[in-house]
Amino acid sequence: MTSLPISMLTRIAWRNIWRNHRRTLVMIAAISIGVWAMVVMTALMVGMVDQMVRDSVRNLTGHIQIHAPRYRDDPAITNSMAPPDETLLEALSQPKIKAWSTRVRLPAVITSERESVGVMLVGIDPASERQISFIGDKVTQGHYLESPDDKGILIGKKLAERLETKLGHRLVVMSQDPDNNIVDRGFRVVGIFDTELEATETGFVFIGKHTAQKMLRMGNQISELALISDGYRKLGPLTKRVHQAAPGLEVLAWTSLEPYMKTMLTVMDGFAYIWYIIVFLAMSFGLVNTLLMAVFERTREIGLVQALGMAPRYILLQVLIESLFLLLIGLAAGNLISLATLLPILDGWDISAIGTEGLEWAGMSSVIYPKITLKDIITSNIVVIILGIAASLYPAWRASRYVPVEAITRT
Amino acid sequence: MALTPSMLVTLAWRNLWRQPRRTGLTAGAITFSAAISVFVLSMNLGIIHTLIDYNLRLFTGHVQLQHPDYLERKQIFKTVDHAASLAARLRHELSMDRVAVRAGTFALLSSTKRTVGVRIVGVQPEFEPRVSTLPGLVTEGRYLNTQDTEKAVIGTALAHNLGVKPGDELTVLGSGEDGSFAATVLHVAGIFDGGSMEINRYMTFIPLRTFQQTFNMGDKANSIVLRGDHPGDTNKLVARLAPHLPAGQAIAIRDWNALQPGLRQLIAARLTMIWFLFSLLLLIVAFSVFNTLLMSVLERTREFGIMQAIGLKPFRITRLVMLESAMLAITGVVAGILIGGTFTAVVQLNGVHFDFMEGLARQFNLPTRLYPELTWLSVSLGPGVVLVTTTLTALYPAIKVRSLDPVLAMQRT
Repeated sequence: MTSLPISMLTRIAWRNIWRNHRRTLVMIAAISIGVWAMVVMTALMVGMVDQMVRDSVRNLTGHIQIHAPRYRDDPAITNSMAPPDETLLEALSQPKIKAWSTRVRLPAVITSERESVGVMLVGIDPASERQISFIGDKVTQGHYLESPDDKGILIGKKLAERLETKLGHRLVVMSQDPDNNIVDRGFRVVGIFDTELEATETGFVFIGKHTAQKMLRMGNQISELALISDGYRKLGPLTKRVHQAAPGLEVLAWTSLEPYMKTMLTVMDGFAYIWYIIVFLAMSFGLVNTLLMAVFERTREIGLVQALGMAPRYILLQVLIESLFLLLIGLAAGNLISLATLLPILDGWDISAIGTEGLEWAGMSSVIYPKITLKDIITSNIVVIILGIAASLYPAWRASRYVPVEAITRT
Repeated sequence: MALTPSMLVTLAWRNLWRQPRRTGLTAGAITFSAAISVFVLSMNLGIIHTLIDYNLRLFTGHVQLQHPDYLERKQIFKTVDHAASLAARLRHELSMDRVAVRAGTFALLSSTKRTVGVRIVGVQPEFEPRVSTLPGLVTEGRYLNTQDTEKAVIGTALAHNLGVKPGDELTVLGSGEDGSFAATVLHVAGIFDGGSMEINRYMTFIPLRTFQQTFNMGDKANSIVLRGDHPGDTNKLVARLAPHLPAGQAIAIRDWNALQPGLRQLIAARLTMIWFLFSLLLLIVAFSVFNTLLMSVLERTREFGIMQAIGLKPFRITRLVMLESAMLAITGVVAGILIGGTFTAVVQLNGVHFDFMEGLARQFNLPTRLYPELTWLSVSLGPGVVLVTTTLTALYPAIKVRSLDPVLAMQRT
């Protein structure tokens, strides 16, 4: 007999798996659940960490920051830097950089009639800052700063409570100038901002950049320059290019500035793969067993077919195709119910039931946005198919090794 | 001759091993999930205990006595009166010396180089080391002792920012308990490394008496910190405390759940997630086991038909099948406990080094080497659930046996 066309094997394989409805359906159910577990868990985990990084980036970090070399160690006025020169300005206008902004950022003390609190004073350029960090969007009472010369101050809602102050009231900000003298200045609260992290609301106060520079007698010096690019991953090359344009300064991507976030990202990536393997192993026992039993059931039939001339390799192929069908249907069903689960919560899944303090400690906001990427879906599908076929090789191989005479005479 | 239980057991066991490969694979799935559950639960128990222990020992303690409004917002004028004598009395009545008094507020700390806003805390040098691990983390100089008056201990980052080392002078400026102007001059006695940035940048410790004098507090303080033997026994500690509180004052007893709500929340969240993931795994394994059991029962239709024909009632056959499944489950689970337990014990010897997670460790005040904790709970809970679930999946196949008609069954090839 000449070679059997694949299409015939495929048709036989298809009919074979449906000979026993219940067994096939139960196996497909197991595979679907496994796929669902892989896809949904990954989407939620990735979404969670993605959100954390984005929040951190918008929380003044930006994607890349430029400072004077000693500023990070000691964020004080003595470690200020000059505003960007021509070379740097040119480097900053490249297309990969979406927006950048300069700031004065120094420790200060803010006082109301009732309380004093240590804060970070941030002098901003409102127009450019709005594109980089949260402050432009989160002012819930009053209004955002209007220009770098604005004489008002923006404080967080929690801070306003602590200082027992309100919109329109006056506060005094105290800090140090380059000669170590204490300088202070009164500001009127023109806006109050509300973010999800309490630490942000109590940690930062915003004033106009020029106002800050004048108050602190800094001339036109700044504390830092922050920029954002089109994505938060793979910032190495861009960081290098910016550094070349600013050789005397420290240029760092957020991965160096926020090691905790970077670690979370790495851990999550690693966790996804481990989870895939574990889920797959759990599925594989059932898959192999099911195929083995299906093959065993058909011993006589396989023996007969071999006696009629079907080559062992085609029997192997047939069993593999049967397995492939199980996997593909399971994958299809699994992907569908995954999407069905994820699409309704695409707009955010509120997990504040966990408790806001715990979430805040971990740097997470209380809403998870699942992140479904094609890459993740394809990876989990490929893992299932490749490992599934690998696991099926054993039963398929056993089937092909039946000796026709022995197989036929088996009762 | 009746079918005795021991015959049943032998029969069931032999039935299982007639198909070694199939039984092996099914048991394998059960072993896999049981072993994983042992390791994961042990690892997490270890992490949780370390998380709680390290965090509470660092500064918070297990229980604090405070003014009722202090928890909501820490303000210096919310005081506990006659704090030192109350603490001394508690030490005596409860026979424990891990009781320390603290008072704290915001103040400006100045060196010749810089002025920084800090949280300044007055402590009892004799008792503070018993409730907090910070005194033991001094890297330069020394911690406060009972003779000190005008001395301070600060964090590494703070020392760096102020540009001071042990022996240098610092000025403190702040607001007293009665709102008056408070100022004093101190010398740096030592510098500590508390791990987290927060602590190293803002915490300043001075002797309690100095604090009370500088900030005009008399013998009042803001909290009395107690540390029991075990974070889990905090309820008992609270119960023992309650009768000893002075009648005249409003004092609230705050346990660590109230002082550090984030801790309990994170732990609960973590455990919930693990349960969820484990349930998914178990579901998948259950389906596989179910399939296998069902198929093997259907395969043995002829055999059951013959057994029925020679007089074995259907319910006995059901019992046999259930027994087989139970034995399979038990074998799998026991193997899983052994494998999982051994693996965990080996890991527990050296711990797992998480140094790539340094940033993570600092954030949560954890050491970078973590140990799983093999306990009766971790060895039995997961595998127990696996055992129950697997045995339950056997119900349907076992019950299917009853609907067999002996004659028809025997006709099947």
